[in-house]
Amino acid sequence: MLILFLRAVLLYLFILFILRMTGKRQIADLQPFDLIITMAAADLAATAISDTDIPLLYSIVPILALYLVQQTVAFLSLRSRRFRTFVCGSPLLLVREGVLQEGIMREANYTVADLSDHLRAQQVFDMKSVQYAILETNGTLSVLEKQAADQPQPKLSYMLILDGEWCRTALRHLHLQPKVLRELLKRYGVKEIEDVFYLQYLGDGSLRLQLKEKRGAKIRDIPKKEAKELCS
Amino acid sequence: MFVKVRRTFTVLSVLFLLGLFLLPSLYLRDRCAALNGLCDAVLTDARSGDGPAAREAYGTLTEAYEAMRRKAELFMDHQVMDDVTVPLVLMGVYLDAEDVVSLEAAAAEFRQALSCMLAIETGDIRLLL
Repeated sequence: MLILFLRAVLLYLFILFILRMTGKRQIADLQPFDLIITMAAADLAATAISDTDIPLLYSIVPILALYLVQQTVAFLSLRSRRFRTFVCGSPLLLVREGVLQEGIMREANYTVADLSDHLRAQQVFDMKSVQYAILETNGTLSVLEKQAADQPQPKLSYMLILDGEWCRTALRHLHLQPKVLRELLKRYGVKEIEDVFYLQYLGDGSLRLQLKEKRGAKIRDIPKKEAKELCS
Repeated sequence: MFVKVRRTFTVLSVLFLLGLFLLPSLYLRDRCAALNGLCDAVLTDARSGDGPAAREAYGTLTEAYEAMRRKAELFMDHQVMDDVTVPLVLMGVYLDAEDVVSLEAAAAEFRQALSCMLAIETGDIRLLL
């Protein structure tokens, strides 16, 4: 019995350490490839805890293998946006300016009832008050509610450049040309797009720019007027 | 700091796994070859009717197997080890009874179990699926 107790303690500490190394804090943060290691590690450990015929290595080796695969996938996701999209998918805009996007919902196997459930969980009980709803890659729903009728309605922000790469979908959606944005960036002293950590189009029409650490991680806010001039 | 710890742990994990892929299989390969040789010696002596020499060879075989078993149990399923132990014990019983035919059958089973154990550890592709 003491052996079972000690095996349980050892594996608990091992899994705790492994999960800590993956850098995730809560289930809600998990991407599909993170979820696999969390679920499988628990199952693999349970086998060796209760069966003394099995050496602890029979649990430790597969858990380590899963950890290494998870680290490789995380590394590749960080390096390549295309790979990340392949593994995690992309956020889906389920409600755009108050209108449910039927086609997108069908693609995501997401029913109106699912949407209502998620909205209620976020204390939104009235579909009418939703301006934007986005189904995130980890399965959570982000909601942007409408303002009062006499106030300007909120608009979505879009990433135009992420980690030195153009976000083509957002550019297409906003009818922006990379060439024009490049000109704008030059005005702010940015010669290469690779130096940009991110460039975000904010809902009010202005832009926010941050350079990469190697370029000093400087942040620049590009006012609405200037952004509009070039982008129109 | 955390990134450094994680990177170090990842590198150590890779080295640890590589070690586990190589060292136990090399050890088992070497020990299995030795055990097969000792098993041959037992059979040769038994076939020639030299009972004391066969028993002595069997004693050496059991000792060598027990030494291997103690180490192999750290990384092998104990059930697999039991599958090797049973025919070895039977070999002793048939040796005492001077039943050479059954001794040969038990020796064949012992060798089969050894090769199964080796296949598990050396990564035989047939076991993958």
